[in-house]
Amino acid sequence: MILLFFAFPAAAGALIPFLPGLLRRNLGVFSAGVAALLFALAVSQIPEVSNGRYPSFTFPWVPALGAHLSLLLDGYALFFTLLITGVGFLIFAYSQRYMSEHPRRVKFYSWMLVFAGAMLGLVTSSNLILLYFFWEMTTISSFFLIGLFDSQEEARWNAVKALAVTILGGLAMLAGFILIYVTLGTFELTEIWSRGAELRDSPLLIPIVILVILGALTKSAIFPFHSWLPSAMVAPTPVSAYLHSATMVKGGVFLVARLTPLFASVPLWEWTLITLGLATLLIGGFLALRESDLKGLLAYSTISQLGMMVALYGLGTELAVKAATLHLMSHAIFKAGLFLVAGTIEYLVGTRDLRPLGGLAWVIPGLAAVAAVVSLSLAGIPPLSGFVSKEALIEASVASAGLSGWLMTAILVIGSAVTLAYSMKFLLGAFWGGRGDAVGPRRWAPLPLLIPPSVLALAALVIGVYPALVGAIISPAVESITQKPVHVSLYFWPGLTLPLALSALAILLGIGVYWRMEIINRLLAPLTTHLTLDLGYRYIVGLSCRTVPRIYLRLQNGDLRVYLVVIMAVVMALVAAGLLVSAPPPLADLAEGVNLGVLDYALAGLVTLGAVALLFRRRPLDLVLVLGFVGSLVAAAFALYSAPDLAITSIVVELLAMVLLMLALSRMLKLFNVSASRPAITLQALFSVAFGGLVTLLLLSVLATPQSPSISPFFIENSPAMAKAKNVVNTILVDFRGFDTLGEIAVVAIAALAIFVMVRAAKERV
Amino acid sequence: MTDFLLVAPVLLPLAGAILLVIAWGRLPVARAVSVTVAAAVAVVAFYTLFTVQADGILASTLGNWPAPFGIVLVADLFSASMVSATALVAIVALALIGLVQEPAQQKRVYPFMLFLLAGVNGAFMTGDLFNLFVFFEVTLLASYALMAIGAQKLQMEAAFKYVVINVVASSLFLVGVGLLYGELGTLNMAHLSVRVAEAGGGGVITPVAALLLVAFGIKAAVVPLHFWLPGAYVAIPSGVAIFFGAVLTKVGVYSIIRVFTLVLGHDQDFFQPVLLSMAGLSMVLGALGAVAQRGFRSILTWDIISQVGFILMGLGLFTVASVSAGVFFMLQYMPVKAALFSVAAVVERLRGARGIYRLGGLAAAYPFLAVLFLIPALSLSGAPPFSGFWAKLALLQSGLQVGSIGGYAIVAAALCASFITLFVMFKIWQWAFWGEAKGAPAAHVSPMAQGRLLMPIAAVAAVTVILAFAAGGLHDITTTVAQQLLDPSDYVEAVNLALPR
Amino acid sequence: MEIPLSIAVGALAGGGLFLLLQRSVIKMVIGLLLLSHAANLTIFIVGRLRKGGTPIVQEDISLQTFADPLVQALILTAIVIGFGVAAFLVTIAFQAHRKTGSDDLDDMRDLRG
Repeated sequence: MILLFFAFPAAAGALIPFLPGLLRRNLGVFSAGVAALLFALAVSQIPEVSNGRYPSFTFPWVPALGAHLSLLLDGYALFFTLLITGVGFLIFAYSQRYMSEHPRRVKFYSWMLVFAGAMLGLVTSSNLILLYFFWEMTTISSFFLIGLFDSQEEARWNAVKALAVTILGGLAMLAGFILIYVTLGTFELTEIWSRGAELRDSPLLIPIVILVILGALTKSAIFPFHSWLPSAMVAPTPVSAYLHSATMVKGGVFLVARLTPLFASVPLWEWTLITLGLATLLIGGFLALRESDLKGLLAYSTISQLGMMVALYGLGTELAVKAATLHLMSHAIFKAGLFLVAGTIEYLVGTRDLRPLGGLAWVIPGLAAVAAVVSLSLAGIPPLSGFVSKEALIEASVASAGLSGWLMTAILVIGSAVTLAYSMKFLLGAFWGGRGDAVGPRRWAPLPLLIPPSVLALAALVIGVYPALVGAIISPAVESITQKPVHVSLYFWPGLTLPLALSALAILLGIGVYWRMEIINRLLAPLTTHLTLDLGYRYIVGLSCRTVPRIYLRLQNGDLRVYLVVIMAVVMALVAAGLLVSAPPPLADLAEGVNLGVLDYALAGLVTLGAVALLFRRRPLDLVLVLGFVGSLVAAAFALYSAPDLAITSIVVELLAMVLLMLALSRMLKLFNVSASRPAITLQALFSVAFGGLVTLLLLSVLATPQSPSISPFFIENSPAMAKAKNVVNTILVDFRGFDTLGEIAVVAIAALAIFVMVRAAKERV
Repeated sequence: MTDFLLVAPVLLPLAGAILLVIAWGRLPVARAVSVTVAAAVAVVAFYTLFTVQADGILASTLGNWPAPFGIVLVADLFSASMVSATALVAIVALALIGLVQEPAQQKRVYPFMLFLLAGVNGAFMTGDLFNLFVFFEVTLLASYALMAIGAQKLQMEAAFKYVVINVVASSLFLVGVGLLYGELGTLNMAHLSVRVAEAGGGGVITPVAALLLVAFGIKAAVVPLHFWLPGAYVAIPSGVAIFFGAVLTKVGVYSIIRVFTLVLGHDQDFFQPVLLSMAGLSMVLGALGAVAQRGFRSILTWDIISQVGFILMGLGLFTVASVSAGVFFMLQYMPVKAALFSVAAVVERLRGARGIYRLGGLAAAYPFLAVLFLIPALSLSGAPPFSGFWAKLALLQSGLQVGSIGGYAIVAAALCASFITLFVMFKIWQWAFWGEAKGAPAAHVSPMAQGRLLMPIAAVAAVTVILAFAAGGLHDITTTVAQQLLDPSDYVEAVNLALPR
Repeated sequence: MEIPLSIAVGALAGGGLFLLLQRSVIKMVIGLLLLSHAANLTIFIVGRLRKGGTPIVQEDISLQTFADPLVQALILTAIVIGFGVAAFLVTIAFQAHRKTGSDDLDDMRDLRG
């Protein structure tokens, strides 16, 4: 049953390109139906799960590598499942109208459903490899959704950017997971949870924490990996609303929460997440404040809010987890609503830039009401859900003792103030004030574009007024994260407490910030400019597009001689090192008890002389003659040392080769005959001498080592008797090692055929 | 029966090649014969694979001269699976050559492709070091021919460089074999293995082994011995590149793995750092080289270097898990690479352009082709759930399990290379498959013809999809492969050395 | 007994490499041929040198009296293969010369990979 959560939407997504007419025209309805079914399925599981009976499923996938298809629908997974399917339903319903004219709508629905499946798989998987699989699947479907309109260059680049950043983090995370596996021998989350202490005692703890955090940070667009998210706004609005606010970017937050029972007590984990989370809260907030593109503003706002959630989960106390989970839910609701509002504005007015907007409240009043609810929820104004969750956040922060607790509280208050300010900017900038240039006459927002965000607004209101309603979802979720029985009490009116006072302070401060927004933006401009421009990413892209090719063209310069020098240098280095480590027997032994005649010396001397002569001959014809001279000497050596067959063959082959060379030379009209410079020749000569010396040394070392009994006597003994032949060499060639000869014949045949074909092809072309 | 099974992968293509030479220029015959031969080899190879899996290593002494005196062919799980994967790639390559290449070119290509197949299979199956040299030469000569037969200037240039470098490599190989014989008095690999073990690391085997490593390393295109590869693979006909890209460098890698486990497994202290640094450099520099490219095929070509590094990483770590992972990587990667080169070949045929910046809009124009690119591309870059992911997972696990500095470093390099590879694959996607179509479209291709072009690609791409679910099965096989490699006693026993006591 | 010839092999290998590093294509070919001579001689030498015999089986032969027959067989194979490759290489060099009009290696730098 639990399998359905990812399998059903993924299958539906794969099916979409093949759907027939009626369904094909109503893909939004179709997809919303899929999401609704899954939502109903998830709702039906609430009683089971809140009683602590988690449905689970496991099936071995690649057991040898620790990968199992293990799914677990615990409280937290169910919490996410409800969000993904619920928000998904509304967004699909919204898309029915919004995307109806889009040329890539089939692809859109296809990838959106695949994404939904991947996301549901991600939150229900309880095996780290499976989790990684779904993680990457969300990344890849996100790539195709960002780049949906692929004829725009910007869409393509930004898709690649989002992909690159998240994949990088994903790989780091995978490495972290494998280190966990190396330590504990399992990828199963439940087992890892139960053996947390073992993991924390491991010397690999630090790298594990760093690597896993990298995954979470990149996915959730936490500073300094945030820059891909604003770029991802080139995607159609439903994509931004779904992936880049309510679901996918929560993946990192989800991972942090999942690993809280393991690492909450590890200072590195806690402080990295808190520091970067809070930094992101402020950076994202101030960046949102200076943004005039509606979706850009919302993107930075999302970054900022995600930072806050990461920080709270990093803090890891029960209160913090509860607050973060609650806020995660409010955020999904109001942020999806805000995106849909922005989408509707763009749909109706044709722009989403705040500057030519304004006064929409009188033009599209229905939309304005919805926008007011969701943006006030974002701002944390009572009686909306955003207020409740923000209260919880501040409460959790206040409860964590010490200086750091106070610092955190202070940052949260500032962050809330900034949040309020940019919510005002969104709401008032678009809907209040004089009618903007782009705004046309009064009209009604089409209902299909109005109802989905209204539902979200209603949810924000209802949860805000009566938060206990979602207690049945939140407490199992918190229980699953902290793995302790908890009692979550949710209330709208906390009484006159410190958090409430701080909230009020934040609201006042926020109004002040909004009031003086221009000044703040100007003051912070130098800082924020550098933080928005993703310098690092651009630098790397520049590197890959320009510097790397330049370096490679220099290395891979097409000069065969350079290639040969490198290869020979490697040979020499390895052989020399090998000789050093293998300590060959003293070479002096070789010289013992041997009597060499004049012939031996003369032959060797002449060969050497021939080789040396090559250094001083330039004309190719001379070289061919020297080659012939050396070749005959080699044949003579074969003859001298009792191998007449070899001598004959080698002299024949040598003659043939010379004839060939002469023929070729005689028909080559222009021969290259410029000497290299003297230093170059000297270098070449030195290199060659070193090589020759090494060859001799290696050869002598081998000779000095006594040979193990050779297999040769067998051939001599058996040649006459078994192969009925007297010439042993021939017998070996045609009989004992006939397979070699077969290959040899094949080689000659191929060469002959190839020469023939080549010459003919050349003639045909000339 | 055993004799037939082991000889057939060499003799069938050889016979086919001779037939094609006799029937020179008759294209329908050539197409039919080539694909039939490849299919027959595939049948034999897979049958051998299953037999070996069930009954253990098979060995056949040719001419009935007992090993180590005669030449012996050996099918252990490693060689059998390599021959199987090769046969699969061969079918696809031969089928596509008939569809994407000009008829005049096809005529010249087919016989040499069969010679090439014979050479490659011989190199995989032989149990004799000198015979390995001979089959290397058969392989090389056929590949020289395939590169040069177009006789255009660029091809002459590519062929000349390719031949020169490979002749150097062959000389090194020959000297290495000779020196080993000089010390150990035998050529049979099983026998050599026994003799090396007897010598107990004495003698001057290490520098000789170094010669062999360089010789094989050149053919495998390991950094820094890779220089010949990028130019060469761009100059060959696109259909031939499928086989070259998927199989040819693997002959070198296979030989490294075979020789440095079976024969020279003793000297890990010396060769482990060498292999690991070569692997690391290949992975990263190969992938970066791909970043620097503009051509569809040249990107894929540079990636070969990177992937060779991954395979060698498995060998370099030298545990059962790591060698298994390396072999797993190689086996799954051959069909994947074949699929990618096939897509490149089909794109060249459809659009007549090679540079990714000159392409565009392929996804919209040919959606099925796009899918057939995307799946192997994801697999190649190690995205789950495709086979490439399992290969990388196994490699990373084994690397981290080793736990040494070398292990961590190589894992870091592997992660970097994976990332860059993915980036590059999506760079191809971004420019060639997305966006507007550029340039004048090539001749119109009917949907039927398109379907025929895509069928062979779908067949190889299916392998990686199937392996996504059946990775466990392949992993079991490669674990056995690794066990057989790291403990040569089974192999030695199967070869059944007739040694004077 | 093998020392003088071993030195000669080293000289051949060095000379071959030297020619291989020249800019002239034809010189490179000659260099490769020298290298293959060196390789063949190496195998021959490590089979240990012996004087005064032929590989025809007579009544009282043994490895003491003539060169290792296996080594001879290997070298024969290698020589023939080497010749096939050399012929091919010369053809390529010749064809390349016809295309570029020279045998300057620097005219062969279109393929940079």
